Amino acid sequence: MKTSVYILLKYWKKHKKNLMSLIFSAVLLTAITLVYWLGQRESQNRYFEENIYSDGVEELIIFNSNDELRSIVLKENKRTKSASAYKFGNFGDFAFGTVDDPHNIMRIKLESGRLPTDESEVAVDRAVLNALYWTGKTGDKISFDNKEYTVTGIMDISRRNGSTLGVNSVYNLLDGHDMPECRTLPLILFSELEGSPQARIDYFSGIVSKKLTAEQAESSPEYTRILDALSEKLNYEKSSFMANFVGAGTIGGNHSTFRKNTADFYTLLFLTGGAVAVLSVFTVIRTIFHERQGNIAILKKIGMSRKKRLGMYAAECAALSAAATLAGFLAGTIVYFIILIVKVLFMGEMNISGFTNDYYITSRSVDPFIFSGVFSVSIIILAYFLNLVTVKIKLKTPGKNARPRGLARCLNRVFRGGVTSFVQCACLVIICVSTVFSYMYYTINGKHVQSIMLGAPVSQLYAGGIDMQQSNVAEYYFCTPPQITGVGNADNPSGYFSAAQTDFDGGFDDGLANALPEYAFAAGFLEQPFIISEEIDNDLENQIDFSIPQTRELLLTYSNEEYQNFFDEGQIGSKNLYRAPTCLSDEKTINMLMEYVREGEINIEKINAGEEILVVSTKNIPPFTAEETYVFASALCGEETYGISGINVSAPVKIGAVIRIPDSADPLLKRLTANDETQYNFLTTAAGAEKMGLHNARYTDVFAAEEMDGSIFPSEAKMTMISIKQLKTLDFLKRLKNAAGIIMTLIVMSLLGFSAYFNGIAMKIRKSSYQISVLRAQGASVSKIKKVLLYKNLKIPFLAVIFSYIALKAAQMSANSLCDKWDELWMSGDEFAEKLSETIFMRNNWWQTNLEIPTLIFLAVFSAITLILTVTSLRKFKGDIAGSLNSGRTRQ
Amino acid sequence: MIKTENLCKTYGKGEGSVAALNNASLTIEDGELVAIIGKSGSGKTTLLNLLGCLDTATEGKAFYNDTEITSLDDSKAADFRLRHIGFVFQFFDLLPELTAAENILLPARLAKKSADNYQEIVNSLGLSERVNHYPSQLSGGQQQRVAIARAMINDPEVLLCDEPTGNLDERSGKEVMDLLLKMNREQNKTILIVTHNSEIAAQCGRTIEIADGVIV
Repeated sequence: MKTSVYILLKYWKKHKKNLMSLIFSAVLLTAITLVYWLGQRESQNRYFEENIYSDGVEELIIFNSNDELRSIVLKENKRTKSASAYKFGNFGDFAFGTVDDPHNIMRIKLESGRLPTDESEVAVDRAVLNALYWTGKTGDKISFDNKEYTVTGIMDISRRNGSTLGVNSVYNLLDGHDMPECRTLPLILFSELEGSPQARIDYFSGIVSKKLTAEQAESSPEYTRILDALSEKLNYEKSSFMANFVGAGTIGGNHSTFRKNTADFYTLLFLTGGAVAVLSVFTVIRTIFHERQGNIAILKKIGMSRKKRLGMYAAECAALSAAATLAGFLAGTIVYFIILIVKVLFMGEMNISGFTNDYYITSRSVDPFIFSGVFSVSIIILAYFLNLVTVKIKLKTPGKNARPRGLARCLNRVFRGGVTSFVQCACLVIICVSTVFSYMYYTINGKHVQSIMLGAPVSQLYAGGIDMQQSNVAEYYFCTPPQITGVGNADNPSGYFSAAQTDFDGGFDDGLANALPEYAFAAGFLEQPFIISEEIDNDLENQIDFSIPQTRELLLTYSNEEYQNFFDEGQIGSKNLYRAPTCLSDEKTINMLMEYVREGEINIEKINAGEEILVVSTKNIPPFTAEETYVFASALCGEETYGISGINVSAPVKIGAVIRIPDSADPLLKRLTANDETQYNFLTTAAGAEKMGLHNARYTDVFAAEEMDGSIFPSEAKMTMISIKQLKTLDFLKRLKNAAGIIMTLIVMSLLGFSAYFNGIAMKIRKSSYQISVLRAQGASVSKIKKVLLYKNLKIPFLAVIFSYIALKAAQMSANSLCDKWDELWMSGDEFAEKLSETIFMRNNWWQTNLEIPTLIFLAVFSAITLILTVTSLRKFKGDIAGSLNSGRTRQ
Repeated sequence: MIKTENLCKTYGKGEGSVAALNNASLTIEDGELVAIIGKSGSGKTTLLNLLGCLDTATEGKAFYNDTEITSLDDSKAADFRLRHIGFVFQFFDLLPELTAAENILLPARLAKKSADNYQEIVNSLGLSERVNHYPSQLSGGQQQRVAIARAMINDPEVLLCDEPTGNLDERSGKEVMDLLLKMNREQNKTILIVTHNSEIAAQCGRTIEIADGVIV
């Protein structure tokens, strides 16, 4: 054995490049398999994180069960594991108790720490701690019922219950309400408690077959048995219990559907990469076996027995397997985390990984490390075995009178790649198809990637209702506008009676607006103002509609006492009221409208004094004349949001100017002064609106053409800023996220390409080094040999692309024809259509993608790299022919 | 005529360098049959490789008539080798993927020549029955004869033979030597044979002895 190992070590020391190729392929195989299964666990983990508390998992939850019930369920289904939660009572609004969950079926999520194990310890839900104003951390003390406990863990379960914080639905159950749909746990957990629990909830996992639909669950003999047994023991009607039980079956069905479609990227990676890696390992081992034949022949000649030679291979196989497994684990883990980091940072995914001890996950997926280790070792052993038993193909002697082949055919034969070329081509086909497939999948008709390449924006940089880039706005400041309640006829929303929020205190007044830099413009909007008219005015629009009695009733119900007579004769509600949406703009903005005045003139002083108001339209010339007067009013809403708590009525206000802003005007000016939703609007300054008695007369938006110092706004103004820089960064990240999927695929495919294909180019040339030396010795120049090899090597990507294109095109045509027929099949209830709809084929019209461009790019890239690698591999053949002939002989 | 002037070949650099050939100067006339003898590692093969453009000299020059072969670039050296030199190696160096016939015709096809002399060469070397066999299906003597045929196909002026009988049994070795002598006699080929066999050297018209890289 020592001799065999010694021979191996000496051999590999001399053939380091081949050794590297072999190890690389084997490591890649292990790494890809590991990444895939970690990805599967990650997907499972994400699913459970997002769904577990909202619609449960594949389990049965029985409320108010007992030992007998539990034993019935466990007996009927041997796969089942169980856990129990006990509620012993309430501490205020929060239930307390204990749990017995050795398998972590209940998936109690801990923000920090652990569950209690000692009677002096407790784990508490965050909601409870917040309600108690407890600001400690795990390890600190807390008191319940005059007794002190150490907080060992802080739980995070009540938020995900779907129920109101602090309300425990077991509590509801005891009151005889309907069974809750969501899972519940006591929110304060002790390690042990004495006495009889008020309620007990048993959890059973694995009870429901993952593929059963609700209907199947109902008709299954297994479930019927369980239902019958349980319903006898429960105090509930069988039907109400079945709803919960069958619900678990349906959830199982949903989960299995999820699992069918999950982790597309990882599945693509595994199928492609795994296939390529397996082929790669086979080919590399085959090439090495081929090259070593001379070596082995010598060992045979000097007397090494077959048994010893096999022992040598076994030792090599074992060493390779061990190295590949360990290095593959390391490489796979690193690659996995890189992918995860990209997903979290650029694709906005939650930071949830496949490394988990969660029973739900580990019981539903294979162990990534065990599977990948076993899989790659099996492939390596199989590759060795197949190469050992493969019979060497004997050269068929041509007939006696056969003519010798021409030069081209001879050279073709000399540099015949055989299995290596076939495998290279196969690997390239797989890689090409997968890359184009990913391109179709991640780009939706290829348009997003094309737009990224061409630099066209994916999204426009909108903020505050305008395109910031187009309107030359560098920064947009805003606060949440005042809330408005509307009461009226749903069929006539333009006739709603609006009232303003009573406690709005954001925004700012003219004092600050006039202090803004000259490139910054302030605006606001009041939705609630209305005009009071004694007569019907046909020129005015949006008459407030109180025609429906329920509207009046609603309004009066919630109005303050002094407005109970709102609709009485002579009161405001009995008159003709017209909605008067009013824009607020600062002085310099209003002055910019001078060129658009159709009638009257702009007098800022009178506007600020509340004596005049402007009327503006972007659509038609408003039906007003200058000097006309109107009475404006503004209502405040009640505490219950509806109703009236206050009304201000202005003195008669004159129309100072009638303004028509044309389509060609600056969009920012329109945004600042006009309301697009109505035919016209009124316009004044905040000071003027306040003088008129309009409520919440404050500016809430600022558009700045340059960056400005935001500290000019006091904190009470509650202003937030969006800058064009921020939007551009977000836009870039969004596009990067869109591209991340395909970028990751390209990176992975490149790695695979290197392993399977590029590696093979160098290996083939190394394998033919003797032949190259002989030809050079006979007078063939390096450039001639280069041409022959280039032709042979470049054939492979060409052939691969042709095959790939044909396959993809055929798939595209079939998918398109299927899509065309799909509606018809679906309507007819065809089962195939239903199954097809669950697959990825029916997504996004991605089969419409242009296939030519990506395949041509693929061809260009791989051809270029082939060219470079072939030329660089041949560099070593310049100069010393005698030396390379010598070393080539020893290989033979 | 073959002529060398202070031909040197050094392998490696610095302290570890080895002078395989040191200032070798010789002249070989057309039609000579020359044996280059010396102990193992003396530099015989190195000299032959330099004369056959299979290696590049560190210093010095070599001429074939008026052509200085030491100054030729890679492709010109290959072309010169193809058209003017035939090389017979100790280990035959036949391409295993090609038949004997294809191996023989390879240089002619590389040079784009018609190989009219193919049949004559094959017959004269007694290979008619074996030309469609692969090298692995031939005996050592047959393989070496194929190698000689390959070296002859382009009718080179010079044949360089590096221990042509070194890998053969006595009988095959004698057959090969007889062929070489015949070619020298009948076709006036200039033949250089590297050998450490004194009997072979005795059959040649002239002997050049090399010891430690120096022509004695």
